[in-house]
Amino acid sequence: MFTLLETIIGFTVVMLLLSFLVKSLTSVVKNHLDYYSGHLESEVRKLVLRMLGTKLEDVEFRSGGKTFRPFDGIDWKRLGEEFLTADNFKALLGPLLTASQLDALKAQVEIHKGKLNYIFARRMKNLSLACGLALCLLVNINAFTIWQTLYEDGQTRAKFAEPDYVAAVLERAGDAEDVDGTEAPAEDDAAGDDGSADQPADGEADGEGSESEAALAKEREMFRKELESFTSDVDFGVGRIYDETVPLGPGGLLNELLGSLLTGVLVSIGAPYWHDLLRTLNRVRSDEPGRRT
Amino acid sequence: MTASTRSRWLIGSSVAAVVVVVLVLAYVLGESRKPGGFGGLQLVYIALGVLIPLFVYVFGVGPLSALDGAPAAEADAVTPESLEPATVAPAVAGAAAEKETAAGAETKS
Repeated sequence: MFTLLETIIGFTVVMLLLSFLVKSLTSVVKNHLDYYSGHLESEVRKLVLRMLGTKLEDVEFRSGGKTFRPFDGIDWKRLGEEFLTADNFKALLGPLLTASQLDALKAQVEIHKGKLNYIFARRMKNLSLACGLALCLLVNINAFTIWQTLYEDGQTRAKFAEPDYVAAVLERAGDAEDVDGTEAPAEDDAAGDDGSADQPADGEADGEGSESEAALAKEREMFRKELESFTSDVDFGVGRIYDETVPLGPGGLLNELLGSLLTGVLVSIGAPYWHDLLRTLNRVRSDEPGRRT
Repeated sequence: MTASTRSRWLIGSSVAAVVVVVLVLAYVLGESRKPGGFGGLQLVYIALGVLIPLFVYVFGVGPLSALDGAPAAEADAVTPESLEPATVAPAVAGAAAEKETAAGAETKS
């Protein structure tokens, strides 16, 4: 019973470490491709189309003898969710809106804001799944082998299920969540949160292009370090497919493929899930009557 | 069969055909190589390792994610004509005229 519990704890630790890695990779991809500003622009377009029946580029009105195009020159990459407010749209579209449209504006903006957050969060979950699968398949991280090694090898199990090591991993996970919550809200979507606070890190910053380049380089470096750290810590169940000394038959291929697919799906559930599970298991172990000391 | 279902089937069958061709090629290429390099099965694994995440990305995040009800070029697909008449707000000219009428009525009263 105790062996099984320790195996589950060790497995959860490995999955949590792997979740950090996937989160890091997702963050790199997301910030490279900047999905948020595309979604924001798309929702503003739809809102304008719905309210005025015209395309964003065609919106114009005359004020003081001059033609004013309110959406000209907007850099969507510099905007975040805070742009989507009824007051902003009242200021930009005011002269074109009727009284009834002005009344409905707040509700319309809220609908589009909700949709923006929902679609973005969903897309990020899919991105997290794609990154998890890519990482586990290409590095060949096999959940079956990891489980089997932990169950059969007492020394490895003791290393990963050791209370101090578990506490250190839990603390690290807690720190990562704190950082995500305060400094870089854009990064927590990979963990499968609701995404309501998700915006690109550069969305609210007034930084230059070089700053975002530096941030990207830092993220890439962090991912590289985490990958190195993971492969040195977890040296079992990883990369067997590339080992030429291990004969690989059709059964072996199927085992590696299914194992890696399963790992990819499991880690894309997200770090918060594994963190909570590990904390609960750790508590169960410390309450166990026949606990080893 | 709706146009959407037909396009899904079309895309699905094309993707399946491409996958089969790539896997067969990978296997044949791997097996025809001299011993010492990657074997056919290893190349098949690597091909699947690239293709599976790629499909998840393309259909879930990338250009074809709109098929699943998600974003991408959705904004371009929406035109005033594609919106239901009941939900379409009056056009700018109409809106302005309505505003003037309302203002006139208020002045009169």
